[in-house]
Amino acid sequence: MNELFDKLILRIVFTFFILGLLYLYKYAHSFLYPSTRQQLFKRFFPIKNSPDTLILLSRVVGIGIIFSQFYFFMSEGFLYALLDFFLEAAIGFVIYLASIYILESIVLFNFEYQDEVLKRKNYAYSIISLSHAIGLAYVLKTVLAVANHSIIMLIFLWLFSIVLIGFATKSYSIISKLPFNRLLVQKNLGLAFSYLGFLWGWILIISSSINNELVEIRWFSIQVILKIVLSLIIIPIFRKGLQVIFKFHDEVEREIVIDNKPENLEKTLGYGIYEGSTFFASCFLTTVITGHINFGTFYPVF
Amino acid sequence: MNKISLYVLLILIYLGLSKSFSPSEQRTPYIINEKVYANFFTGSPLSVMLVDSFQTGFLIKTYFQKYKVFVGFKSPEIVTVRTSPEFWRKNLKNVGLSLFRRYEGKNQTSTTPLPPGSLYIGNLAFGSWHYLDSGEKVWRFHRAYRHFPKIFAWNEFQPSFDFFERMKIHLQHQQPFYGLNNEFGEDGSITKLSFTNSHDKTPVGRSKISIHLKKFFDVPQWKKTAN
Repeated sequence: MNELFDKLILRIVFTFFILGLLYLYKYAHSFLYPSTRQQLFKRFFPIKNSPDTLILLSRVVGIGIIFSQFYFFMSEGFLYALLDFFLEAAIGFVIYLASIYILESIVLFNFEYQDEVLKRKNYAYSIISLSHAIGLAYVLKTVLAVANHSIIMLIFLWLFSIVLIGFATKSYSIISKLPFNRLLVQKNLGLAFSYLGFLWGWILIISSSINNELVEIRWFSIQVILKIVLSLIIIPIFRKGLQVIFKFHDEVEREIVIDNKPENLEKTLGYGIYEGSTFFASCFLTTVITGHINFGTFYPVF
Repeated sequence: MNKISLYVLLILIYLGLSKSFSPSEQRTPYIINEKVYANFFTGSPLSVMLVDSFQTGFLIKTYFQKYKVFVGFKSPEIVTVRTSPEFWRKNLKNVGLSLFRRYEGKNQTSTTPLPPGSLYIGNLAFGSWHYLDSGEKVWRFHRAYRHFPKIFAWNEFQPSFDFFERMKIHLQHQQPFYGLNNEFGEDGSITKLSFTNSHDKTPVGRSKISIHLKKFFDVPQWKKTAN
């Protein structure tokens, strides 16, 4: 009975801790977006600004994702378990917010949160921000699991994954036919869905690549880089394969993309959804190839 | 065209990186043929026995040989090496034989495949010739080296003087020697008792497939029965 009670207390502590972190996020929000310092301390009207609701709740979900793989090690006692948890959770939370800040500074450096969300109600911006919040949380969850309670390794892996994600986001302009900045100004949802599929695809690849046992830093880094290079080889095969099998017409006229005419919006939306979903599907299938095949002892290592 | 070249470059980078950092490549030395033995194996008296030959890989094969290296009076050591397909095939029949020897003091070496322990037979520092009741002259190691036959996996085998004489002739002509009655080598009666031959795995036959497919029809028991 005692241990059941212990576990119940821990679960309740965990619940309140997450609520506490969400409360802290209100303060962190004013650091992330200094121009909107008082925004979250006033009454929030979701009906008036749904893009803002989307961003806020995506970060709430993101915090939940990070803590979805936490462990309580009770072997050294209840208090030590709580101490470990608080320490790791606090670091995880800080790192998550820092990741959001870094990624948004890389991708959305031309745009201001206050202008795009609060004033212009730009859904495309909020969907891109949502993709960052959920994607980064997913990677951080893997990083926390791989670091295995070592704060030094957690920081090393975090920096490593942020560098990889940074490079990945920069490749969007090479892979996509949709001009990012121009269409984001036009609040184009096609661009938002295309970017969402693109980023989440990369998140899957990076997360699957770093999800290795960390015993030796050198060997771990080699494995991650090899998996990413292997993914770069496999992704185009799946993309091309999907196009050929389902006879996708992968063409969009530049005029349609650039012009902000209402009749073109549906076309760009369709193309953006196609581009994002094909890339995401290709990346997901790639992770199946790069990460989940077990060859057993067929290839022995001496 | 640019995309294709970039793609080919990526594949080459992947293969190059994988090869450079592959544990098998790094930790398993490569021996192309018997000429490398003298530089690769150090110490004397030295006897290098081939204890297993096997290959890995489905489409592209890697060839391995496993040696039992016996230097001086130390415990024997098992060394696995990668080798060339030609050298691997050439030595398939020589499993259980000594492929390389370095004689004590003289720095003289030999790569003629001979039965294991041939380095010590006839060397009076290690043993002597004895007559059996049948009148046959056989080799016996001194008391201090009585564990040697076990190292060479001889079982009940005792080298006779005829064996020794024939071995010397083969050594002189640099021809493999499998024993007077082919006791050693892949098909040798003594070798078969002591060494595995991984390359000679039985091909997948009907009976094996039926056993293999059985797992697809396994159903766990309803309730664990108490012992």
